[in-house]
Order: sequence, then C-alpha cells, then structure tokens
Amino acid sequence: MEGLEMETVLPIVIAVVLGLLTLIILKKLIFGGSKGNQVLLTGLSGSGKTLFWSKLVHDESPVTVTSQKENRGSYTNSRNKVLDIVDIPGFDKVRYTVLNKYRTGCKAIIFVIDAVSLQKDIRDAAEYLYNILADDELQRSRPKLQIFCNKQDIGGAKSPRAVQTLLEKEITILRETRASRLIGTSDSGDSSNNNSFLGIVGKDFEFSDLGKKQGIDFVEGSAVDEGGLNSAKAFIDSL
Amino acid sequence: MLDIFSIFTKGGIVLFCFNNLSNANHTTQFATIVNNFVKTVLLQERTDKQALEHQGLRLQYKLDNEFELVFIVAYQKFLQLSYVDKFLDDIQLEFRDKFLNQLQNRALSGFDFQKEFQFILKDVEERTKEETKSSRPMKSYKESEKAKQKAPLVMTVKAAKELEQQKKLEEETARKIEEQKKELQQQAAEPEEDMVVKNRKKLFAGKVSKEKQPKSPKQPEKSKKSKEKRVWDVAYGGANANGGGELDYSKDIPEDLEDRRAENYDRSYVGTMSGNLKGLEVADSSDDDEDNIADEEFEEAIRERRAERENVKQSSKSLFSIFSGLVGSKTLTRATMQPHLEKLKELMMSKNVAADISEKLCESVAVKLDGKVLGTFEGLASTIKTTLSDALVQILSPKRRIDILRDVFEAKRAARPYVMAFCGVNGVGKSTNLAKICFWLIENNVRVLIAACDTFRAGAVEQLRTHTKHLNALHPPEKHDGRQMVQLYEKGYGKDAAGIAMEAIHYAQEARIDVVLVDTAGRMQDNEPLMRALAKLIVVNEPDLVLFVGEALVGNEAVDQLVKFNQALADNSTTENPHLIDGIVLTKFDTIDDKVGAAISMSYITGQPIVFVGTGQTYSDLRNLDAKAVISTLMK
Repeated sequence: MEGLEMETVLPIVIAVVLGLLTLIILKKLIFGGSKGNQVLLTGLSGSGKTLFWSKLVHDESPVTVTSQKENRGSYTNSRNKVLDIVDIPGFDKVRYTVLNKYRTGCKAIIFVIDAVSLQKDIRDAAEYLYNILADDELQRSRPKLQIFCNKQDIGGAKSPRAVQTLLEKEITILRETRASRLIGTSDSGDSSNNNSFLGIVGKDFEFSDLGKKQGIDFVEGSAVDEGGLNSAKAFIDSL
Repeated sequence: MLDIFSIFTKGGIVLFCFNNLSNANHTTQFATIVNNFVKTVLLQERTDKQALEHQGLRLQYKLDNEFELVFIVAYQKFLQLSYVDKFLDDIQLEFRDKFLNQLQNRALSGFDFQKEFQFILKDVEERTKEETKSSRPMKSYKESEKAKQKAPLVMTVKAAKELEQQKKLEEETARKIEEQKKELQQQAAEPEEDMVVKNRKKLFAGKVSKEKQPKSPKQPEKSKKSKEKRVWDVAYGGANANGGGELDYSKDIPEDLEDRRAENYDRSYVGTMSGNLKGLEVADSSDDDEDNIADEEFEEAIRERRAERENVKQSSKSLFSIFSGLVGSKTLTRATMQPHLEKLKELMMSKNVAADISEKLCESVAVKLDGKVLGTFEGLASTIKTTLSDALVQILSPKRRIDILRDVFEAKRAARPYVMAFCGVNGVGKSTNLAKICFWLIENNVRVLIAACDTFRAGAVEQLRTHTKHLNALHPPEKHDGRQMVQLYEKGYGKDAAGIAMEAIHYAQEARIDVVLVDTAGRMQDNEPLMRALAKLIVVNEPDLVLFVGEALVGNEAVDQLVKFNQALADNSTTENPHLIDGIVLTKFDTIDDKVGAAISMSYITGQPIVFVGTGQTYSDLRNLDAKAVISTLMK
C-alpha cells in the first residue's frame, strides 16, 4: 500500500516542481529581459530624492526621513513607455551597494542636488557624481544624465548655471587628487576604485567634454512646488 | 507622555506621525531626531540595542520586516515608561490589521490612525497602571522586614538556652570532622614520601647511564646551522625579487657611508604610489565561492527532498504540507534562525572577529529578519548569510567621504597645514606606517613635516630621522623644484608632546609645509596619565584627522583598546563635541591570512572607516581597504 502511494505521489511532486521551475524561468525571461527601462534617482542624503520619487510616481508629498532601502515604482511617460523609477538611498554606507545593484543597463540617471546647501556639501556631491561618471559599468550602458537642482522654492538656492560651475571646478581638483596617474582596475584588483580620467587632459574639466552621446543637462526644479518637476518630466518623456 | 510616535517605511516615507514636541520648529526637530536615529542605529548595524538616547530623549523602536516598516517612539529620558514595549507590540498588530490592503499595495497615504493610536496608548497606559497597583498590595506589619528583625529581642530565656545547646553540638561535630581529616592526610603523606625517594633514585640512575653514553655526533652540526633568511612571497608584501637585501640596516656602517647608501636606496618603487592608493589585493575566489554556495544549496535541496520523501511515506496527509512548504511562503522566526546564526557566529569568531561583536551582529541580523516572509525559492541559510554579509559590507563602507589628498588641497588653499595625529598601543607600527603614509604623500607632491612627539621611547626620534633621510633620498629636492619634501621636527626626549606638536604646526605654517604628521608614543589603553596626555595633545592641537593605528592580529582586545582610547578622548575634552578617533590604520595585514576579523571589530566599535591598510615592510606597502574582498574572505 505504501509503495503504491509513493509511486503515485512522486511523479506529481516532480511534475509540480518542474512546472514551477518553468514558470520562474519564464518570469525571469520576461521581467529580467526588460532591463534598460530603469531611471535612477540618486544624490546625497537629504537632497529630496524620496519626495521627488513619491511626487512623480504616486503624486503625493509625504513627510520623509532618511531612506534605508530603495523605493521602486513605475511611471508611464507621455510616449506611453513604462519606466521603472528607482529612488536610491543617499547615505554613504548604503548608496554604492544599492547603486551597484541597478547600474547594469539603467536608462537614465537623475542626480538630485540640494541647491541650497550645495556650497557646504560640494566636495561630497562632486565626489559622488565623479564616481558615477567614472564607473566602468555605468559608462558601458551610457545612461542619460540630468542634474536636477532641487529646492528652488527656498530662497538662496543656486541656479543650475552656478551649480554647473561649482561642480566643474570641484571635479577638476578631484580628478587630480584621484587620478594623477591612471591605474587600471585590473592591476588594483578593486572594481570600486575607478580611475578613468574625466574630461580632456591639460584642460579644466567641463561637462561638455564628456561627449555628446552622454548628454548632461542642468535643470532647476522643486519637489515641493506644483509643477516643480516639469523639467524632470520632460527629460523622462524624452527617453 | 510620548513626545514622538511615528511609523515610516524603510524607504523613508512617513506613514503616520504623532508629534508632541514643545519646540517651535518641531517638524525639523522631528526630522533631525529620526534621521539621526536611522543613520546611527539602523544603518550601522546596531539593531541589537533596544533603545537609544539622544539629547534628553529616549528612543525605542520596533521593526516590521514583512512590510518593511519602522515603529519609533521617543519620550523624555527621565520618564522611564515601562509600557513602551507593550505599546509598540500592540500598535504594530493594530496597524497591520487595519491597513493590510494598503500595505500590500505599498500605498503611501491614507493611513488614518489617530483614533486607534490614542486608544491603544490610553489602554496600555491604564493597564500598566492597574498592573502596578495590583501587583503591590500594602504589606502588613508582620510581613515586613522590621518585624523579623525585632524578633530575637523578645526571645524567651528557654529559647536562648536551646540555641546555645545547638551551637555546642555543631562545634563538636566540626571538631570531629577535622580530626578525621588530619588522620587521612597523614595516611596519604606516607606513601608519597616513598614515591619521592624512589623517583630520586630513578633519576640518579638515569643520569649515570646518560653520562656513560657517548655524545651523539649529530648535535654540534645542528647548532652550526644558522637561521635561514626567509624569503617572503610577493603577495605578502615581500620584495619584488630585487629589493630584499636593502632592508637590512642593522649592520654597523659609518655615518657618511649610510648616507651614500640611502641614495642608492632601491628606487624600484619610486613613482608607484602617485594617485589614489591601490585597492587591497585579495586572491579572487568569488568563482569558487559561488560554486561552494551552489554545492551547499544543492546538498540542502537534496536533503530536503529526502525529508519530504520520508514524510510522504509516513502519511499521505502530509502531502499538502509539502506543497505548502514548496509553494507557500515561509515566515522567518527567531527559533528557525537560531541554529544558522549560531553557525555564522562561530564562523566570524574563527576569523578573529571579537566575540561580543559577532554576537551583536548576529542579534542585529535576527532583529532585521524576524518576521520577514521568504519567497518561494529563497533558502533560509542563504538569506541569513547574504543579510549578514550585506551588513558587514555596510559596516566597512565609510560613512563619509575619505579623500585625504582633496582635504590637503583644501587646507593648502586656506594657507594652513593639514594635521594628522597617530595614536595606538605599543608596537603596532605607528612610526612605520607614518613613514609609509609620508611616502605616499610625497609621491603625490605634498610636502610633509614629521613631528617627533614620541619623547619617551629610546630611539624613536632617531628612527624617524632615518626615515626622513631615506624618503628625502628617494625624492631628492632637485626633482621637486628644489624643495625638501620631508622634514623632521624634533625636540629631543622628555619634553611635553603636545607642546612639540604645537610648535611643529606653527613651523609648518610659516615654512608653507602642506601636511604635519604627528607621531605619538605608544601607550596601553589602561595607562591613565598617558591617555590624559594624548587627549591633551589632541585638544590643544585640534588635528584634522586622528588616526588610530591597530594591528590586524588583535582579537577581542581590539574592543577594549578602541573603547578606552575613545573614552579617554571624550573624558578629557572640554568641548561639547569631543574630537574622537576619525579613522583607523590597520597594520600587519599581510600576516593574518584569512583572519580578517579585526577590520570588522574596529570599524564596528568606532563607526569609523579604515583609511589605510599596511601590508608589508617597504614604503610602498600601503593600501586601501576593499570591503567586498575582505567580506568574501571572511564569509568563506
């Protein structure tokens, strides 16, 4: 009796397992294959990424605190394309781990900057931006980049033009301290230590030197104001 | 009673907030308090702690890992509310029940919870009040301590006599027992003496026979063989085939000869250190790792299958349970995680992570995962392992930017020297690594002044002088527009270290030197006067960077060292925000193989990054820490 039961049960179990496996593989093929529709929201901690994200994806403006994990949501742009908007936490300890998870095949990056406190945080912001620009993996997928100068609703916020100058100046210094000599990633044995030189040697760094393919535009906006995200929305629509 | 109660997602979106702060700008204060809490507790793997104190407020929290929520309560520290735990439990249940749909849809708003919150709060408050009331009824006089104390005073004479008799009896029995013991000892001693005599005789006989034996001819040969020079592998920071011999400076050579020799110093690594430091090279074994994991998972799967088959044999009823086991979601509980955590704790301890830190880390992982629902094909063991290794990577990742060259540039622009102070216990390699860092700096065209503030240990100043000579020989002034790249500021022995450091900084400012490296005397963390002296040096000179030098060989001791160094710096500071240790130099990293645990222990305690790693004896053996490589070695 027991042997017979075993004979009838075992094939069922195997069939179910196989069925589930195929389902999972199918799911992976369908959803995993749709990479290249991710838009990453990134920037320093406290620059207003999570509010930006909730405004864009859910059209709500909740109170926010420091994120520990990424927020994901889909957004349909004017050309009826569904994009996966990912809000990456900005705290130093987590951001690279999360960024590395999404960097393969991302379509665009919106780098959010707190235009009010930029003067104070310029070194941190520039370093983070530098790392994004110099990252091998990210360069391979060549995402479009927008630098969103947030918090324009507050008085004393820097204009995109001023932000650009500040960042260019800082990156010029940074690339000297970071990469006075080119070190290949292979001989350092460290993938996070990218030292590809940005811009043109012997000339101060300018964002326009990075090539037209990877267009970088500086826009102003505010995640609080009504219509403050229009510039970012236009950017997403163009994808 | 409560100042703040809030529910927010791990993504950082506040779902519900009750704010009772009396401050005028209470919304910003709320944000600062909660952000600070997230950054110092949740993102630093300190979730083993139940509460945190911050600016007179006490914060208590609870994590819901299924819906990725954080419940947090803050109240005045002196209140000592006992019901907060219970309140958090109740409110979590209520919140989940009420908004199950919204939580599953990951909605951001529509959490109208005010009424329930007030109700639960009142309910819990009242219940605790009642409990405290009912659990402590008034004592009657007879039950109290006083009544018992007074009792002997009113004892009757009869009772006293009885007591005396009892005492006598006890004394007698005690005496008897002692006598018996003595007898036993005597008996035991006699045969012992015999044994001693016999042994002596034996020994003597042995000696005689040995003397008679001729000396073995092999012995002198062995002693002639001198110690062979060990050739270190390049991977462990050994010389690159040609440079080995140059390291031996111990031989007596006249002064001028030594100078000439310094000029001939092996130049093979001049120019190798410009730019950022290279990452640490750890044998890349990720492929093996994956294989191993795959194997393990495979084996586990087989085991599970077998267990399932046995279940099927037992009864056909359990068929459903198999399916639910396969398809249904599993919720992690502390009990199911415990054995795995125990194993990981052992693993960490075997890799030299301090014992209580590995315990705290496991506890933190348990809190993080408790109640989490696993997906269909997520294994329990692998989930715990990845959570732990993610946590470890997080610990080793710096919480702020470390780019010393950039900061040096900034200081240069402000026309002041950038000051780094080195501290640590004796013999961990402070001076050696100071010289290496100095070499790295001059390779990047930064002028350095070394302040010899170790005025205690014999030869400390001479050691630095030798280093200065060599470094200047490697980078002669002709190569750097005639500027001398390294200078030594020395004032001999027995002086006040803080004073020397201060003079050195002033000198550097006048001479337009970019960086001052302050070498301090090694001191044990328990040496109170010396620790006070160190704190004074730091308070007086306000260095930009206080580096703790610790050796990678250290195990549990690391905790004690760092805690006490930080404590001393905090205790002896007069300012509100004392300057604590800013970073760690991990030395002797080439000697520890895969026992990389000290890195974890040190950055966990201080919450500070490991800025440099010393990996050998030559000037070029200085690296950055590659968190991922270290963790993959650790979790192997």
